[in-house]
Amino acid sequence: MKNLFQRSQKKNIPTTAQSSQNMPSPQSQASIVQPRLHSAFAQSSGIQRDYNEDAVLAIEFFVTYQDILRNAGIYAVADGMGGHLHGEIASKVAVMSVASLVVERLLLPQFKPPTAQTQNSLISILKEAISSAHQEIHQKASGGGTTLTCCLIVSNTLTIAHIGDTRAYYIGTNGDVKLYTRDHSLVKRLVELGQISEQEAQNHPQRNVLYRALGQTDPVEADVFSLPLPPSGYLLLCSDGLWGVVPESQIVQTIRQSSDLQEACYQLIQLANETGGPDNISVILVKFQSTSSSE
Amino acid sequence: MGAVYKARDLHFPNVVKQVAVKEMVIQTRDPVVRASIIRNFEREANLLATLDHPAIPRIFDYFTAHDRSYLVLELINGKTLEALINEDIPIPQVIQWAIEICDVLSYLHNHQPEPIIFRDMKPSNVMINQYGKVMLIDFGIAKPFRGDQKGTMIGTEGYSPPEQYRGQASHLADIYALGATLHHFLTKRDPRLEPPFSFGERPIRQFNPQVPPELEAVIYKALQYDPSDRFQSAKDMKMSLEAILSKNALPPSSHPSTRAVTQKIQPIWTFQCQDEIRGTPAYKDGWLFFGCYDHFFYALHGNKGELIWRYQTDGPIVSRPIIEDGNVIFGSADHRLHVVNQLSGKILWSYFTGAAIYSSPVCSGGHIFIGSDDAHLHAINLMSGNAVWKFDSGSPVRTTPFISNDKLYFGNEYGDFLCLDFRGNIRWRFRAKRGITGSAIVFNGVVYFGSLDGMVYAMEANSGWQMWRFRLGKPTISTPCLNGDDLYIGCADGNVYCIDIRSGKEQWRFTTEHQVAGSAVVHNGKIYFGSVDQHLYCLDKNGALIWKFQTGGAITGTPVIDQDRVYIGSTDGKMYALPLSP
Repeated sequence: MKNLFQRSQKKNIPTTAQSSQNMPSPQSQASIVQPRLHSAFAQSSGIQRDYNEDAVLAIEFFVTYQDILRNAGIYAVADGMGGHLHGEIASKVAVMSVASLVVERLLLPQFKPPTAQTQNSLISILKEAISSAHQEIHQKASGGGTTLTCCLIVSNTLTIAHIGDTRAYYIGTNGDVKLYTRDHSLVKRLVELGQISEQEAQNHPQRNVLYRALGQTDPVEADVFSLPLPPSGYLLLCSDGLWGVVPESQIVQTIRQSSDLQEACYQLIQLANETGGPDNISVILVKFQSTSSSE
Repeated sequence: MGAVYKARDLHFPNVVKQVAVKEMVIQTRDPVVRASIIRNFEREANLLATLDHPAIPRIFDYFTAHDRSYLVLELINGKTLEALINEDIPIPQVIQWAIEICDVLSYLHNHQPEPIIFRDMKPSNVMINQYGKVMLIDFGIAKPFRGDQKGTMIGTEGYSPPEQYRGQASHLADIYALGATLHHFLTKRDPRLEPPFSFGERPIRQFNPQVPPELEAVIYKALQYDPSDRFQSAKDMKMSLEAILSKNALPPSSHPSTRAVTQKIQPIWTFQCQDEIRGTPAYKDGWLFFGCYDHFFYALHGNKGELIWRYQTDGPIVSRPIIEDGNVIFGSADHRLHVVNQLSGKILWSYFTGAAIYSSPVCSGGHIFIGSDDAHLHAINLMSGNAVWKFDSGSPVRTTPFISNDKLYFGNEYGDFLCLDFRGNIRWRFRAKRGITGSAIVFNGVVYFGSLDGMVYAMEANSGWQMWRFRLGKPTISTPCLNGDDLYIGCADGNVYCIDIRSGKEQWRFTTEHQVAGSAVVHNGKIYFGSVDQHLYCLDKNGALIWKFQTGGAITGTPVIDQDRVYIGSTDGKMYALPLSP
């Protein structure tokens, strides 16, 4: 491990006494800033259903890159489509397939001798994961369909792959909220086109109609994108069993007021069930805080 | 779902009569569902039997055996529109096919005793037979739409009109789907990969400039969200299409590049040098600074284009100057970095590297950083002109280093991309498959650059972790330019690409006649760049041409813009000052 943490002691830049603009102090370069990740999740089949077609996944791990250990995590929520064959199998197959691909592409290579193969980009890893999940659903749960929202954090980059109407939110420590995903649902599209209001969408008879889902549409097209992870805050992944019935403000308040991540997940589930729990509920909550670690 | 077989009708043993046999496998064991599937199948058979139109295949027979049902149909030798999408079909031919589709739709919609709605118009259901005539295939899916169940998927995604999801499908749904089919065919953008009802967000002529505006207008009328805004009959649509054909409104010059330019751009001034101008100028305080292959470095009045001073080096100059503390700083192929007084054009000092300089300087914290063909990145004290350190990258450095967050980012001709700290220590490195001649930019913690390996890379600036990469048609030496979530980069294939920086997906591309070596700049929402095809282009943010201006030679540099004009050098040896709009 010595090489990992050793700092090279080569050329020192002389400070320029004449210049008012000095070089930045060397201390600022002695550390690498990356997020520390903690997560919890909870699930419920809801009040009105006795089966659970949702699936969740949360793994935290380390990857070594450029001789530095980097924090990483993969989180996913999938909501199997009811009324279709094998809804619950499709959602499980989807998260398993993503997990195994991420492990294969990110985790395992560091235990093998380095190859000349070029590094996979984060977006290409998730794209590959989506298409392998899609194919596996065809094989193992033919006719089944599922939504899938997965978030891959590596160092300071968040990469999201999303299809359907499960969601990923960012919740800042000061309470600001950002919805990272766009629902692939008919009503969302009608809202975007200005044909119906947000209010009408909430009670629309076709609010469960999707226009994209894994295992269903062919060709399958997921939204896959990367963005810098904010310095601190929460990442919330959830199925429509939560966001469809609990107002955003209440979700945010619950998370901010809770001292414990696991507790917050339970409370969110409870809130959804208190509204009548019409659907399966799945929640993953990830807390991240950037800290400097010595190189 | 099922297969279609080519079969021979043995009722005619003495001749070869070929037919198509469409097979449907009944998968379900549920007797009720089975019965309904067989009913549907027989419905298609009966429907077809009542129809008599040259664009509808004739039916000879139908039967059910074991778990399969079969239709015996006229065999059509040909290709579907879906298969033809990537072939170069002349626009008049596409219009002709559209007219034929209107004809057959009109026939169906006026069918007695009740109108027939095709409901499944899409490229894979339209066949072009061996005589080049349209045939509609697959009358199988006239299913009612059900949206009551949790998580239902919507029908033939992409081509269906909004009202179909409300369970209302009139003949106007077929008009919409025909519009969607033509949109897909002409733009090559599959609507199944896009959000529903988003055709308006992909203007046809942007993807296919050969489409005349009249045809675009007809297609968008068919694609109106509200059914009452569409053509009210297939016949109406047919008439509009025929009008385009008869007007022959398809002159060979329907290319947008000639169309959009209504007024000619006239240069405000030009300035003639003795040799090619290949680099990029700098503009500061009303003065324009640039180097030339005639070995001179020029300072001009931006207003009038008059010479203020010129300064001679011993080699061609391609390096883009920077102006820092009243001094102009640039490299030359004479191996030197020159620091010249901005007002007088007199030398303050110069700094020798071991080989020609094609890189451009950057300045930070009282230091100048520049690459050289001696394979080093040099850090030079701005006050003294002495080297502070130099970093051996192993191969010529022609990129301009980018400084962000106390780190330097640059590539070299071997394909190494390096991130150094201010003391010259490596933070991370990455190796592309070919050289990196275009410079990098860093924004929001992400570094972007292109390579001669034909890739554009987006990497986390802190770690070098790849977020995405995008494959261009050919190598690039252009530096990316950012505008919101859009990244623009030129390429040797003659295109400027617009890539979404979050997903690494292409948004649009604009094709010029030759390679695009320089970079784009954005000013007031418009994009300006030059091409080796001699033109300076001005595009809107959707990649549509606003104007272009032809210089006398190739443009390899990047334009510079002050408030109301754009400056660009050309290999005809001229520096041009142009107005921002005609």
